[in-house]
Amino acid sequence: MSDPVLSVNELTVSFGTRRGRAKVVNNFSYDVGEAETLAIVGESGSGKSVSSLALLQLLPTPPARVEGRALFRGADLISMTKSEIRGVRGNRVAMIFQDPMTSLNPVRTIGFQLMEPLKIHMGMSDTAARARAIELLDTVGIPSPGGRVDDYPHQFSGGMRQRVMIAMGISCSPDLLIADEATTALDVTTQAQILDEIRRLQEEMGLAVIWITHDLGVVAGIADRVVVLYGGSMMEESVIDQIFDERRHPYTRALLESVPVSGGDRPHRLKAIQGLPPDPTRLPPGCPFAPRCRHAVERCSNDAPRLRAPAEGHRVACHLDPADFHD
Amino acid sequence: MTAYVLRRLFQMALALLGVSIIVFSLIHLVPGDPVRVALGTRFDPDVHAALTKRAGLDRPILVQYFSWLGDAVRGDLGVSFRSGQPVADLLFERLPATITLAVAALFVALLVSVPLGILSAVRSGSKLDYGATAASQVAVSVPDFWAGIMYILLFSLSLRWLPPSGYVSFSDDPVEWLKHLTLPALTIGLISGSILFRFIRSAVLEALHQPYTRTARAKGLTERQVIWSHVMPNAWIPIVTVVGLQLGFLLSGVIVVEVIFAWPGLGRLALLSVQDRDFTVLQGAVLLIAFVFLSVNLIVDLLYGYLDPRVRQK
Repeated sequence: MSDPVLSVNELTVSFGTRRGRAKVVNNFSYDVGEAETLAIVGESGSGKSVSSLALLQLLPTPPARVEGRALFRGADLISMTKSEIRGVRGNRVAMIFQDPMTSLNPVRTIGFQLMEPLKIHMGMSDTAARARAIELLDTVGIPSPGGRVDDYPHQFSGGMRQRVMIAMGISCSPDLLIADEATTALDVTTQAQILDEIRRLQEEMGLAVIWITHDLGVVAGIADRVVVLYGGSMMEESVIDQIFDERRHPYTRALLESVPVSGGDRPHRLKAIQGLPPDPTRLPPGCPFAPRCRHAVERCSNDAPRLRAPAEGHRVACHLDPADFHD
Repeated sequence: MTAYVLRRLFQMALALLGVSIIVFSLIHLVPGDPVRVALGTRFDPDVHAALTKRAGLDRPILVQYFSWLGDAVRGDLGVSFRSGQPVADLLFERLPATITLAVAALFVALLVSVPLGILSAVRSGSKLDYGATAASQVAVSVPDFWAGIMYILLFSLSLRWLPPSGYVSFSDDPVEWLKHLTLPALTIGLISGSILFRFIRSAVLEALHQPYTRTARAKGLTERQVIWSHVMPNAWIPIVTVVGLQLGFLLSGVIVVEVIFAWPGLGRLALLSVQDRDFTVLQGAVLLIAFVFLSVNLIVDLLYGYLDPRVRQK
């Protein structure tokens, strides 16, 4: 891999709470390369959204405390001043959020909201920004964009609004797009269209994408590499073709098994993972997944496993060798 | 839009009709004979009968109501029992004082509540926020008559800066007008401002935590741009509602404060008419107050359409 667009190193995010500090992201490290799509997968509360909000300094500090480094084209996003990070937000690194219904301002026109980044980052005039906004709407597949640019968000459907969010995200030709559960609120057909759209833009613009989701189906469709987060810690990282293999981290396997399969021979019960995700104020001293792991041995609950690389393009945090698993 | 305004005006007329029925029947249900009160110690059964007949009070109540309503629609609210002056004249004599005080009080209220409310929300949890919230709690809890008396004691009797009571019209003497206006406006304005402060603070806080605010930040806008272009346009919507309600209350006459400062407004007129059993004046005053209140509400609803595109569409 050539120089990564983003290189996150030992990112740790904690929040001050009444019951002590909650460590929500723990020594999280990963790289994203040019035109690559990295999927960050995990269940609710695994720290996947928080870790990406921290990159753009979008977490309120305090209560949040962000440590570690995130080198974006060589400059550390975490230690940037307010005005430096503002120059990156929406410009070099863009973000799309989960809920298209509430992520757009209801009292501002689509055009107004699309024109803002163009005016502040590219210094466009109102007329130029408006013309570009119409182009962008066209790019993301909004029919008759000239007539829709002055509409308000409530006049758009959920899928259309997410397209608007994407248009906003790509408006300044960013190097990196972070999509936080960007298709979760959409129906499957719309979801597929949005995924296609992102893939197309990625090919055209050489865009690097971080795709945050809990949906492994989406991951299979879009990602080049996958990072699995659990309790704020990285459990496993792998290229996409291998993640569905046998030799996986027990958590990844459990996650895969809990995906409903259609067209199986006979109806079978979903294998849900027993127990609950760990309380971030009282993380176990060992592997965060140990209390719920079918294969856990004594060592797992005392000693946190470090990431090791059993093969090229594969990192895993587990004391055990997946080859030893027999279910 | 025109259809909407027309519909609202029709609803307003219906509401006023309802108010008129309630006011009329309440006044006539309450014991107390206005003619007897007007005569006082010079009571004479013959004069009493003659006056009652002249005022039409011997007629059935429904007849009285419809004749009063018919006149009222044409702007004739009858004559005062006490003074014999037309009620409409009495009311319009008092209206400028009430409007002056209401607008001045609202001005004070907005001057305090808007900047403090926004600042407290933006810096929620700061010392400024705690201080302003505590101060507003105190200001809301203090009764208006007590605050008014304290201001008079301090600013008029001790410091001798401002007159303790009375009203001077602007056209007579602008400086004296302002001096007389200051204390009553401050008394109501600070209370009203404390109520507004709490609403503004929570409206801004709510908008600050919406996903669209995060989107605005993620675009690279400055915090100032985020607040003025994204947070406030949403926060104004609930704020306008409360400001409208407050203005409605202020315009309806603030009875206690008007009495303390001998302010010749609608509230004091209404109170006096109750004491005198001057029911024609009371009817007129209540009807006018209801009219003013409903008009302010209508204006607020029209402002909604201006502020919120989702309302405009419907």
